[in-house]
Amino acid sequence: MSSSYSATLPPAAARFPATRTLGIGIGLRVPHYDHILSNRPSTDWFEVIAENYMVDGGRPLAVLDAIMEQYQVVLHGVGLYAGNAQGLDWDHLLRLKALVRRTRTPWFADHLCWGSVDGTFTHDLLPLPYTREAAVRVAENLRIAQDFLEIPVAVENVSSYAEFKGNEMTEWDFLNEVVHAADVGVLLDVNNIYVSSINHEFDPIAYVDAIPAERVAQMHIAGHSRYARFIIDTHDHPVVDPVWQLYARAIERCGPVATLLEWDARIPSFDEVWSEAQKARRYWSHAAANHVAAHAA
Amino acid sequence: MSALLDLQRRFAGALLEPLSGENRALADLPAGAAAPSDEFNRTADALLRSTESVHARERLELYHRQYWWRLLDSIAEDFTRVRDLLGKDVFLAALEGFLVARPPTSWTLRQAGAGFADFLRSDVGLSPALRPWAAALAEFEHAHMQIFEAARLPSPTDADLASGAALTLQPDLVLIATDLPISRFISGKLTPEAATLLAPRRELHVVWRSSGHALRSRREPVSLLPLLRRLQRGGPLVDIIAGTRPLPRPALIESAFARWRELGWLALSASTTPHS
Repeated sequence: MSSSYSATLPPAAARFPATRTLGIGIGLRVPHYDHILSNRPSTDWFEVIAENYMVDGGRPLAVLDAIMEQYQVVLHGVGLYAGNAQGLDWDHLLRLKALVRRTRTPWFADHLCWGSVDGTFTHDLLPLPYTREAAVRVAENLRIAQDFLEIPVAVENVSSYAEFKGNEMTEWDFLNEVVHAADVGVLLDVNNIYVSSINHEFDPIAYVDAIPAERVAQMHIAGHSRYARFIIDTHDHPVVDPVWQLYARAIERCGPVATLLEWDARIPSFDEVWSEAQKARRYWSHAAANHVAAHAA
Repeated sequence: MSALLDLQRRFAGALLEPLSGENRALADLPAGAAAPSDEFNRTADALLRSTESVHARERLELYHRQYWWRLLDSIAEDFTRVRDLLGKDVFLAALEGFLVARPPTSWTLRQAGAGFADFLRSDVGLSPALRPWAAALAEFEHAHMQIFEAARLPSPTDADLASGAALTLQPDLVLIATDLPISRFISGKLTPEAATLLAPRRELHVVWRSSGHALRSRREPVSLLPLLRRLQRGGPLVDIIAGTRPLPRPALIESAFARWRELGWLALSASTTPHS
């Protein structure tokens, strides 16, 4: 692996320098295109769903190019499927690499999940069994992706509604094992931790306290839909207080990393989404001060 | 086979089972009430943990519903005219049949509806009179998905045309030749019942993306179809004309090329070095 991209990377803590300067961002969504292009709002950065722009032409790429003239964008994937037992999809990776080059994204993040088998795609972020075999396979896929894309990669914890009987460790232990074996970063989705903690009855603080803070490149916050006996990660509501509290704890541990609000369904006006995202800033500033003080001490 | 691969095959197999009865509902369900099959239940019981509040079968059912509704909602958005023709219930049944027969094989959800037109042509759940109509409209609507994200090549300049540069049609343009008068349905002047009573008629539709990214369509004379198909294969204009059979009248060709150029349909063939 001496000639691989991964071998040339600096230590994890120094791998995502932009995370300390990006600030608060929101997802680039179609209903907001016209507002952004016309009004040029003072958003810090946009996260872009990679698969929406892995195309040959048309309006999506034209809009993306126009947005990039003024804003930093960071690519976020939903189709890498690093947990696929049969490996990565090279058509997907080739198109992704072209977009990586076009956008000059500082890193690429996708999910700790699987999604296709035997050539059939589920188009979902399916949960993995937390086994050593799975950790080895996911890590191998992530290393291949990071080497091929030639940028730092981060992996995001997903919301889940099912846990496997064959699990050999907790989700956070599995995440730790994968990111160390693959030598990749973490996109910590605080809402996903909260959703899964309700669905699987674990302590979300224990999860946040166990993550490898030096590897966290980015965080996600979002809303969800609560039903009588479980929570579905719908990204169609404001962020709830317990998630904000978890977020405060997370940035207390990890410092002021780039944070993004996800709002993907029943999308309100740009101003409403941006206003919700900026609520993170007050937690962010407070936690950043504590983080600096703790490190100084 | 690895344990991980075996698990993923069983899990995906359960997701691909057809929707049934109560599991169309989006709300919470009692354990096992909506299971598509005994095998589905066996998979859930074998693989997943239950908690006091949510049974393993319900957990698998959550993913099962997510799989189906994500696909059904996404594809249905792209075929609104087919839905108008068939009515909501028949349309959804046809779409489910399509996805059971042809689960998605691409990483992009936008391609999930590719092949729907072919499926409808032989869907035994539809009346024989409706099948060709549904297939033709599905082909017309899917063309809009194809061109939405297609590439665009440079348009030929006067100098390119004068120098005999190789031409082709823009990649963001789709030709649709049909034996049904779908134009009557597309323009909204016909009920579905009346449409199926119409006599067959050859029509040529061109669906393309304008320079402002708007998706457009127009009818062209059917006699121009051989010329457009030959042009789509690319080459110098003299070769295109020489290779077209039957060749339309010269006056028709001349006016057609002027119109196509104005509409932005012509492109320099990718193998052509741009005129310097």
